[in-house]
Order: sequence, then C-alpha cells, then structure tokens
Amino acid sequence: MYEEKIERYLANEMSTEERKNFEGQLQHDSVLKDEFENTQKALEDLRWHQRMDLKARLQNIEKTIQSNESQNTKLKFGWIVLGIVILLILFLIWLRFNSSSTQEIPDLKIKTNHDTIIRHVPDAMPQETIKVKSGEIIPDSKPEIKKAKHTPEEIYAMVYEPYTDAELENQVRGGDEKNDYEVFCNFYYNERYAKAISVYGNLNADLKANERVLLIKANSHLALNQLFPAISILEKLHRDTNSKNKKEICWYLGLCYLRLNRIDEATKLFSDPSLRSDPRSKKVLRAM
Amino acid sequence: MNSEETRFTSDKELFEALKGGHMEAFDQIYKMHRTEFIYAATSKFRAVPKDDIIDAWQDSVISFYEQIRDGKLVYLSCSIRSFLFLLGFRYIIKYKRRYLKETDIQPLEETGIPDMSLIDLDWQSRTQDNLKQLHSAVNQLPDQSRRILYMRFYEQKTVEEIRSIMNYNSSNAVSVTLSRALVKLKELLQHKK
Repeated sequence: MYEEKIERYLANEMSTEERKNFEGQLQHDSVLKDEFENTQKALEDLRWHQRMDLKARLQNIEKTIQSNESQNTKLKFGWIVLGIVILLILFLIWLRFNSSSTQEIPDLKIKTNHDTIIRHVPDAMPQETIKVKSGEIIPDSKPEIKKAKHTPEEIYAMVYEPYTDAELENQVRGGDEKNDYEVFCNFYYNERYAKAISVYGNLNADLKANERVLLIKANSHLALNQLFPAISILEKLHRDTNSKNKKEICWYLGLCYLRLNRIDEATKLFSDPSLRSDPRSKKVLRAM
Repeated sequence: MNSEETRFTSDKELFEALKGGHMEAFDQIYKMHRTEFIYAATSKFRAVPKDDIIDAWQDSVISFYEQIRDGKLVYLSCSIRSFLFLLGFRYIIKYKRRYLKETDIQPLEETGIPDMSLIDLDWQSRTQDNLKQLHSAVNQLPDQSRRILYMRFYEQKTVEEIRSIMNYNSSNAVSVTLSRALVKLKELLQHKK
C-alpha cells in the first residue's frame, strides 16, 4: 500500500514538503520502514547486477587485449628466435668457410747473424726483413700468424731465407786482403745483393760456372725480387743431374715457382726426393 | 588501439556519448588510457600485482560511467584521463592496502578535480558468493523490467519519459510494469536470501 509513495520518493519526485512528511512517517511506521528498506535494498542489488554486467564487459575486452598482447609477444619472440637462428647459421657458415681456408703456418725460422736476429714477416716482400736487437724475445716456436688465409706469395714471404752455408761464413772471416770471390761472398753475406751481383762479373770463368757461386747469385736475385734471372740460373742448375746442391736448387727454384703461382711445378720440386726429409718443404706443402 | 576503433575523438564527445548510454564510448575509454594507466600505477605502486591494477582500472571506468549515466556527474573540470587515473589510484589504495607499505601511499594530487567526491568507492565490499547469488537472481528478471527500473530509480527519468523511450502506449502501462518489476525483483532477492 506504500508502494507508490516509496516509488515516488526513490524516483525523487516528491516535493520538499512531501519528502519531509514521508521521512517523518518512516520514523514511526515500522511497516513503511520495512517496505522502504526492502525496496531500497532490491534496487541497490539491481545496481550491483548492472555493475557486474559492466565488469564482465570490461573483462571480455581485457581478455581480448591480453590475448592480442600475448600474440604480439609471441610474434616478437618468434622474430627474435628467427634472428638468432639466422645469425647462428651465418656464424656457422663463416666458421666453416674460415676453417676450410685456414692452414697451419709453418714455424718461422729465426736466423742469427752476429748481433742481429732477422725475422721474415708474412706480409712483407720477400727481401724485406725486420731487424731486432739480439736479446729480445721472439716466439720462435709459434707461427707468426695463425688461422689466416695465405696466398702463395705470402707462403713464399714466410719461408724464404737467403741461402747460407758454413763455407760462406769462413770466407767472410778472411783477412783484409780479399780476392773477388771473397768480396762477392762478403757482399752477399752482408745482404748487399746488388753489389754481389755486380762483383760476380769480375769472377773468373771457373768460378762463374761454379754451382755454389751460381746458387748464391740466384739467391741475390731472389733477395732483390728479381725472379726471372734467378729462375734462369736455377733451372740451368736443376738440369744438371749430378748436382751436389740438388736439394737447395730444388728448394729455391720451387720457391720461385711458388712466388709466380706456378703451383704444380712448385709442388713437384718440393716433393723431389732430395727434399723429402726436409722439414721446410713439408711445411710449405702443408701450407699450400 | 586501432584507429578504426577510435570513434569519439575528444573528451567532450566521449562525455556526451556516455551520457547517452553509448557503450562504444565506454569501451573506447577503457582501451584508450589502459596501457598508460597500468604503466603509471605500476610505477607508483610497485608492490601491487598487474591483475589488481587492471581490476582498479575497470572499477574506475565503471564508476565514471555510472556517475555520468545517472546524471550525478554533469560536468568535468579536468580531462577524462586525469579523472580516471586519480580514481584508479584511489581504488588501488583503498582495496590493495595489503600490498602497500605506509610509505608507498602518497597523498594524491586532486587539485582541479572537484567531481571526485561524487564517486562511490565502496562497491567492492560484497563477497564473490554474494555477487554470484545476486547475479543469478536478477538475471531472472526480464531485460525490459530491469531497464525500466534502472531508468526510473537511477537515471531518475519520469514515467512519461520512459513511455517515450520504451515505446509504451500509455503512462499507465509503464507504471504497472514498473510496479510489477519492483515486486518481482524483491521476490527474487528475498528468495535468494
């Protein structure tokens, strides 16, 4: 029986006076009070229901957003993984390529002459050397450069050392009076190769034809990077089957061919029986 | 948010759309500042889990919408973003105190936002069981009845306005439906208890 009154009160449609009267009646009429409280509670519950609907709506939106975010994250992760895999593959290809083209470089040999250590460097020209004062520590048991690509020219630069022997050293130690042959040897020993070649012209016919003298002359040309005169001399010497210096002739002629990238001819010479037990030729063959 | 979804381009448009009960505006507001709110709230309340921050954001948007729809909030003196952020922070402080040390709770900057006092922050006080029961009871009431009750008692619409909106033949039909809906609602909720 109070429904209409309660409805008008809750819908805010009462005048100030009506409202005042209604609120006064609420204080004294327990039936009205119960009815009013029930209605108010029911409407409050209705409001809660509406809120829950709105909440469910937002939770659905949230679910969609999070699902999209998760997909985006997965996609990003996928791209990152793909990137890493590609980098890994490229790295492995590079590693494979690098290892197949890398060869062990032969140990560098250090020649000691008086107070000077001469060391050949891979990227220098054949005649170029680095002079270091004696006493400095130079690793002689390890290659100068490992795991690098080497052209025939580089291999040549690494292994070429001018010919020397014990006799040469004895001839250099002679007195002040020197004959042409001793002067020739002296210039050569002191790396004045151009002078040595020039003095060769003063030697007598026998000496000029001497196999050892010719080997030194060829080495002088080699040291001056004059490959063709050196080859010409060495090929002549190589044709002599009775040569006493066959091993050295094969070695230096092989180096000449190597320098000119005539690999087959060089290989043949380095594989000559005279050089079979020579560690230098083994190292060069490995490096080639 | 995709540009296709951005239907309302200004705060004013959004406000008017919410007033008119456009749920697209409601959805848009939720998505528009969501990420920024999560970031700001996470920086401000480091101990509060992300899910609770999202919960607070949802409550803020709903409260904001309700106040506008019910005609309690008719004018906004600040941006929607500022209003919602402040409201969201209040929800976090009110309901997530267990995560927060006293030192984390800084006084919120409210300058220029006088409308905040209208907002009812107390609507999380019910238990989940209670809410489930309520939901299933009210769901038994037809949609139309629910809508009429809402318009009448929350949106404060007159019977004549409801007749016009709901296309009833007469105001009397509206009054009868309204009375029946109210009785039914009370019955359903009594039964639930």
